Amino acid sequence: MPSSRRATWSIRSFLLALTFVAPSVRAGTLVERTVAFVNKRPVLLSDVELARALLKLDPAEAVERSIDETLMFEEASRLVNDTPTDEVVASAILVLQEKAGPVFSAAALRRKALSQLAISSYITQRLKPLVRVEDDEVRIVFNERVVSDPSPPVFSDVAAAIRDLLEAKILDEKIEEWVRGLRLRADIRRPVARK
Amino acid sequence: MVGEAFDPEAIRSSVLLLSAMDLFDEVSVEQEIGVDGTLRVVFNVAETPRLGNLRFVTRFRDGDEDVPLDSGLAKALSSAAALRPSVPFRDKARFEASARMTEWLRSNGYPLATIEMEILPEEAVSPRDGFVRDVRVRVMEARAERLASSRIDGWPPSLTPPLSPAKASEVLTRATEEAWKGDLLDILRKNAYYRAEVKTDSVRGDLVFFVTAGLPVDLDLGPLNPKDQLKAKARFAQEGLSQDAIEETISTIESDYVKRGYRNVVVEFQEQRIGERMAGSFVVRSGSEWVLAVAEYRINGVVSAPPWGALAVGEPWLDANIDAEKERLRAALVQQGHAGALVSTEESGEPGGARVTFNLVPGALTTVESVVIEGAPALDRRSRSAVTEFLTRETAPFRSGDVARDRTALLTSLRDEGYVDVQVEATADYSDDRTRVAVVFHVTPGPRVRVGRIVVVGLKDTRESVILRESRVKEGDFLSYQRLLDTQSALSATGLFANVQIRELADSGDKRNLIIEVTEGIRTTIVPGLGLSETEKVRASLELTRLNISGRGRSASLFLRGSIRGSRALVSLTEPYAFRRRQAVNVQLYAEDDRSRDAFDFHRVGFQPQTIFPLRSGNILAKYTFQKTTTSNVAQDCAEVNRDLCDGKVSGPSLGFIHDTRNDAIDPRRGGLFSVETLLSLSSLGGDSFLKTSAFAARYEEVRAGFVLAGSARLGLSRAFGPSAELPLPERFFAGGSSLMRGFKTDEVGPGQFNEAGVIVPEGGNALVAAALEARLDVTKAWGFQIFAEVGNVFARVSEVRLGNLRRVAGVGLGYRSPFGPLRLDWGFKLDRRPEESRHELHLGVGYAF
Repeated sequence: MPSSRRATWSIRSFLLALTFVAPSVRAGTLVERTVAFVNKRPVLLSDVELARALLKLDPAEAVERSIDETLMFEEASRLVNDTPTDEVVASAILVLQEKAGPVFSAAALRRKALSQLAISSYITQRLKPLVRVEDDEVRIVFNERVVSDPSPPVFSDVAAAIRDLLEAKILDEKIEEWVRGLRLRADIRRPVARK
Repeated sequence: MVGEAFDPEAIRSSVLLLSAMDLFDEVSVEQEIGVDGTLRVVFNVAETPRLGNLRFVTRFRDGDEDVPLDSGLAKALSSAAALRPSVPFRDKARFEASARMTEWLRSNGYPLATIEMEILPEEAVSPRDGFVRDVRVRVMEARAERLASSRIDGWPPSLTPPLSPAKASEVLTRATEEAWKGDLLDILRKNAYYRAEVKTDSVRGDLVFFVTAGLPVDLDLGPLNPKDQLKAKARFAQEGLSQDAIEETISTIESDYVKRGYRNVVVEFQEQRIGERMAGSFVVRSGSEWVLAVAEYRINGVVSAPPWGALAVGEPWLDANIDAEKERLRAALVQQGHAGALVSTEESGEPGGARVTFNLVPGALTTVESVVIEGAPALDRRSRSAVTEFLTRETAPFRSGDVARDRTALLTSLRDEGYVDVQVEATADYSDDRTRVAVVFHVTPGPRVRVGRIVVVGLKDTRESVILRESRVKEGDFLSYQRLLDTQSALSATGLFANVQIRELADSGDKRNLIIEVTEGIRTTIVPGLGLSETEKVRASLELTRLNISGRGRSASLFLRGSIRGSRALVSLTEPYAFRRRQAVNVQLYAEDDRSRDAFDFHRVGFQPQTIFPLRSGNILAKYTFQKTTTSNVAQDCAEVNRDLCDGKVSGPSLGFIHDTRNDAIDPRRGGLFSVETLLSLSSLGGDSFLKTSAFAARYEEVRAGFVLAGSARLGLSRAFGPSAELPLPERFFAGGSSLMRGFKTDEVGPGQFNEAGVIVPEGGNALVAAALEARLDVTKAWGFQIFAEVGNVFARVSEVRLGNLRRVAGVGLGYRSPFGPLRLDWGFKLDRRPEESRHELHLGVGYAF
């Protein structure tokens, strides 16, 4: 049996009752689609829709965000071994449900929750320990604020908050740097229009 | 599935599975509602183009038409591209292939060449199966740079200038230039210019060697012994005075001094200019020579005899030996149960007579009070084979190494039961006085995962059923990584596939789909042969093997050999899955016609199907044998030449059992071998009528390192039915020779008849009883000797067996363990020599006698 027909036969036997047609545009409602492949892992339309709903992004931004999240989850699940408890997962799902609305299925929200928990775990274990803010830096930021403030606060009252802000900023930079590095090494492809 | 409710998760799962096959650029799913209200789900796929042929072209100038590239260059670039036909071909593969080809061009004398790759549109090629596209590879500036002229600049005036090593018209590849540079550096370094450098530059084939020689260096290698001096000189001649070469020489000198007890030796390399030359030397500051005079052991501050052997004294002091002894003592204490044992050392005394004191503080002896497993799934949910035996036991000494091993064993056992995300933490809760510890293994099993769908990718000729029947996991089974590995091994062992990979995909929380990706191997091999033989003169052979017949894993081979004095044919067929189960059946058909002997011609035909039934305790071998041997043109009795070629017919079934526990089949040191086989041949089936049973048992024990005691026993009983009471000659029992009764010539034991020349010709018999005892001693790694004693005899009839008539033999032998296996020379003596018998015999053999 010629090789392509055998491949088709193999796919048919797996798909059973699903209809298999030659590549062409058909009238119908689009239910699912691969919008990109990241290191051979597909990013699906349903993932992108959930990202749009959660973060209020436009379609192109949501695709890029989903690609980033796929890369981060792949790296996080490779290097971090924590399994979140059922309570933590349930709590995360509730948060996502409130943000995304009732449209999305429990399974989709659960997948998203597990992905975000894994990424968060990686960031906590691998990136946060690299964040360091010196006292001098806190003082510099405080001084900059004080210069333009007619009634400046006491340093000791605001130092902790300034430190938190600086740490968050540095952490964001480290996350961006991490994602940039992942993208450089990754094989990302998007389906192209066929001739 | 048709008829089921629309489930977006099932759609998603199917899309993921299709994507994981790596065959599609895009997968999309649409739903349509028909006029009758039914829902139709449509999967659209865009197949990734697969690579067809690479078409290499070039152009002389921009704007010119493409012309085919030189075939030699095209072949080299095709090899450099390292692309496999029919694989999915995407941008990444294109860029990487282009980079590899460009690198090859740069390294092989095409400094200006560039590569453009373009997938040809479908109309440009003839229609083919599947989505296969050819790729055009256009090589621009495909002109090799060749040497036009060369010169050397900067050659030291004290040396005779050499001829340029570059050869005119040679292609200027990177390797060629490096080789020429190497030639010049060799000359310079051999003349002590160890710091010389050579650079090259070429413009349109004009090559210049820029030499920076530096000053010649006279090296003083006095601190090295003569053997190391030669090695160092060779290294400097090859590498010059590189940092690595200098550091390696320093390391060699330091190592030599440390071995002699100079613990604090420091070695430096110094260079000094003397006129127009440099002097390089290795300066050694050795410090004092330390000798270990006394090694003292204190346990809890009290001087004691060394608990487990002592360190040798009177030797040079080596820090490594002291550290190793410290670690050995600590490990021994921990092994006894002193988990918190500490060992420290103190040094005292003068270097020439130094003392080391090992202070051992064993600490409390901790015993295990209890071992508890918390959180593990109930045993009735798991299989019996999942039971794990722990090393950590109540009332036994506590060892953290045992706890770690037990944790790993528990983790592995649960993972193999489908708990793929299981986590196991071990905690040890000590009593206040640290004499007791409660060990708890905390198990978080996670979900128990089953195998979802199994999809096979990469099949061309093989049927999917071949893969699925070899798989050790089935859809719905609990996922076990061990069984996935077993599946991969089983598929590789079929010999049908060049590569087997198994990938898993997460589906729903408790299911993983599996993708089994295979690359089929070569199916047909043809091996021709031509040779010379003393009797047959020139002979030719041909072997043809075909694997995976009809895609079901069957194989067939045909062997043909022929000459002017004989021919042989052998056909072998193997069905791996007979009787609808994993049961390999092999059938052989053979025919032989041999006219190369002066004594007689012999002809043989045979047919033999056989199969093996594996049992826990061994293997059962069942076969049917048909073999007919006839001789013609007889000038000498075949029994005097080779009894296996004498007339005889065998036709009937046989059943055998083998139980083999030897650690090594070729050089057994432990274990045993037991085999028994019964053959029934009947005239109604075309053979001579007889029943024959033979049994063999052997046992091997290595009583101490290098000393093996081996014993064996043989029993053979047979009976002929029909006109003759004797079996055909090839089927009778014989004894005597290099494997049995070594005090006798081959087959000499038992009945025989004198021929016309007065020489006794062994006839064999219907019964054999024999036993042997042998002691094998290794003298060196390769040589050894053996002492043996044997008893045995061959009897014409079973009724004539008498243990009192067993012959006795003893002897010695020399053994050599060659790379091909053991060789031996045995010298056997008859202990009950009869008149006219020789006293002894010498036998050369391959492998041990048993």
